[in-house]
Amino acid sequence: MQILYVEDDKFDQLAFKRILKKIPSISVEIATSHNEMREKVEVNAYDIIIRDIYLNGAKNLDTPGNIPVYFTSGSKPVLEQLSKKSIDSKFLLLKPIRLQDVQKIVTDYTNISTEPDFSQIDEWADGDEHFKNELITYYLDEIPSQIQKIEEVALEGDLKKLADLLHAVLTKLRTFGFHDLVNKVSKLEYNARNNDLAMSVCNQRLEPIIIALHQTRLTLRTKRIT
Amino acid sequence: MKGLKSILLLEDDAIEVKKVHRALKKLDIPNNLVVCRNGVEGLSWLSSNPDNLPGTILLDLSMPKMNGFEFLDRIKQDSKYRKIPVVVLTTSNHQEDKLRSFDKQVAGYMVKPVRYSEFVKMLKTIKSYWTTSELAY
Repeated sequence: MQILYVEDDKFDQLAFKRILKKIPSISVEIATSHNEMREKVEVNAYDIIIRDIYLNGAKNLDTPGNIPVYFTSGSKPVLEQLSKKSIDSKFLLLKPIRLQDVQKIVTDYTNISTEPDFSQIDEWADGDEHFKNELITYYLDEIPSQIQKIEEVALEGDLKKLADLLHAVLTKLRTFGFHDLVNKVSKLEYNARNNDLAMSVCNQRLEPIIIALHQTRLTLRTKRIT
Repeated sequence: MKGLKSILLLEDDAIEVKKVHRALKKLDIPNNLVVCRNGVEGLSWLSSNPDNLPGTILLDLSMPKMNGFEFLDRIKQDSKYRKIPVVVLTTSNHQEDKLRSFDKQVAGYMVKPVRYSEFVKMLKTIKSYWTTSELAY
């Protein structure tokens, strides 16, 4: 997991790096300004940005890229104000950042929701539960071999093939409304296709996806109407 | 069904095939749906059915063996197939893929999973095209 930590205070930077030494699966890069943050996001595939609300004395919440952003501040009222401005409080961190804060971020990131949203299928089914069940059965039949192929290709280290296989699985995931999983798979497909990840990092990100894909089978089995 | 032009669907995902079947049935479109799982199968079907060319081709872009773009290149270079309207059904929402498809003269581009109402709209457009074109059924 790669985090971009955006902070202009040297002490906070050191404290954050020290915390991360206790979580070896995370690598961190530091940016100290908006411009540096933008430049780094353009050339690196970060999973998460953790950034100070005030950088070099100026408050600017604009953050580049389509990456989850956690905002930090040493002031509780400042964070409360942001929370009122529709930023989910789980994305607000009070400084100094603690080990458990980062652990929670990691857990949130790796836990992928497999709760389906049947709105698309319901529209097609139009009340026909038999049709809905048939689609679920197709999913349950086809997804195991797709998962297996993804795992094989990941072992071979072929990023292009991996991107193709992830792409193939996306239609199904979208049809069944596995939104969280769709986001993760799309992102990994993009990175794999553009060859901008080392295979080891790719495999690291693939692991929770594979678990979630298996989980979708269990979830859908329970939703099938008998 | 005899006398009616078939619809050729190139799709390797059983769920998508099932959805197309359902929409045709619900709209009372009696044309036969021919399903091929990749471009190679699609070309082979076309060449072995010269007297029963489809009225429309529904084409997935991402398929094994021969992908949708390769298939499009082949049929647009062949005067026998060039005029068959092709509608792309794909997961890709990338601008580049859309432009590339329209460069190859596709009749439509739909991002999967397609909403039922959008799909029906597209099928109705095809139906009206059939009634006014030389490919009328």
